Amino acid sequence: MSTDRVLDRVRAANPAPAAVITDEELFAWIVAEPGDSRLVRPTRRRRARWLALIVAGVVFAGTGGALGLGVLSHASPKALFEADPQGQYSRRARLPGQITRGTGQTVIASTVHLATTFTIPGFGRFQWWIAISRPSGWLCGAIRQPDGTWADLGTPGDKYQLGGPVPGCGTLPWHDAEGFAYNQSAAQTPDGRVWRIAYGYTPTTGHPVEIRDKVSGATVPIGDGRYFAIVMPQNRPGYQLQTLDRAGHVLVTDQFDPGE
Amino acid sequence: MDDRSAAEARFAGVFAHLGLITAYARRRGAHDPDALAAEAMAIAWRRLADVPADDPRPWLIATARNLVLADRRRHGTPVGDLDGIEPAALPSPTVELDPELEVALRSLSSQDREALLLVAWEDLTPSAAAASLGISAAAFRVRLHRARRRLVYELETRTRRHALDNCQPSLEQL
Repeated sequence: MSTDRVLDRVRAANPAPAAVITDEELFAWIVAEPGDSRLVRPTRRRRARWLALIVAGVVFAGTGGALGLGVLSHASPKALFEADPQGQYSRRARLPGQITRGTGQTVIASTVHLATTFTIPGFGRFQWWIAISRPSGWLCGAIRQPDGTWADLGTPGDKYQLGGPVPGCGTLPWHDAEGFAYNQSAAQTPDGRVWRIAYGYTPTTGHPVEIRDKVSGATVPIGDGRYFAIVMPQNRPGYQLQTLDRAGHVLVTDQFDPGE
Repeated sequence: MDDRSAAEARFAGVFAHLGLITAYARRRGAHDPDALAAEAMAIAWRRLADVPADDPRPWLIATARNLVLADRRRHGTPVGDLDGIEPAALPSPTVELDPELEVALRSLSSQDREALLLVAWEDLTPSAAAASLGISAAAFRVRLHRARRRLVYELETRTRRHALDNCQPSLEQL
């Protein structure tokens, strides 16, 4: 049997040929979620309106406490995750006539902890807090800013304007072919410089201890087992993350990210 | 066209491959292929800038592969080789795979088998299949050639063995 014929035989034996599937409901549900911020710029005004609705909903529903925006912006990590702004945002971002799904996640309070910190020159030190949710075991995440407020809550007078997902459960993982999973943000400091921030978790290959941006050379240690947050100058063309082991050997190289 | 409409139009081109990803997940033994494909599409929407506009299939398959691996870890199933996941559930629940072919496929290394199946079942070109595995096209072609040659060898060996078995005279004939 020739090698051409054997390929034909395998083709013919395909146990589950691909069929054309048109699932308009699924499509509408997916695109109702916040899209890729690099293509769909978040409209702060709209986000603020949703958050105003969240606050109104929380306050007027009388869910056991007056979690107004002012309170939530300085809430404890546990209180923030329990309020789950991301889930609220998701529930309200649906299209008319769609089923209200939200994220359906509830934070597991005992898993709330500080994953790592990162420093943006000119701004100061930020903290990345994480937790795990039930029932899906998603990663919950939120960035606490140097002044104690939470990033991306649409807080009036937010001087950092970090950009990124609304805090809550389901903001990660972003899988990619190389096994990295991370969020991306950007911030402009008062001196006009723009910084990219990538924060997430590393591939499990080997024993990584450090993350490096191959383009800028920036490095950062891996905290809490798998988590990292790296700040990179935006005066470089994109970035490309790598994990390094204790000896400095490259374990995994992420795909090049234009970082626009 | 505003940013959002443009992104939705671009995503529609990606979403058109939902059937391919569902089939991929089913063939690779995902516990819930429909849900896995939906999750892959949701990830594609969130990372649309990373999804190649000309041919999103390699990116989608790579993402689906990661999700299948995560699915297996959650269910306590051995994940096999990360470079070429073990298609443990080669036959789908509804369609039987030719037993002779199934045995021959299982005799290949997981990397070789994945290379073969990406071309034969996912209908990817060698370049696209290489992209989905994160290896060079040249390396993939070598892997594919080796897989085809080994599969031919396995099938022919089994055929010869089968023929020999049939030629053995029975005790009654002797």
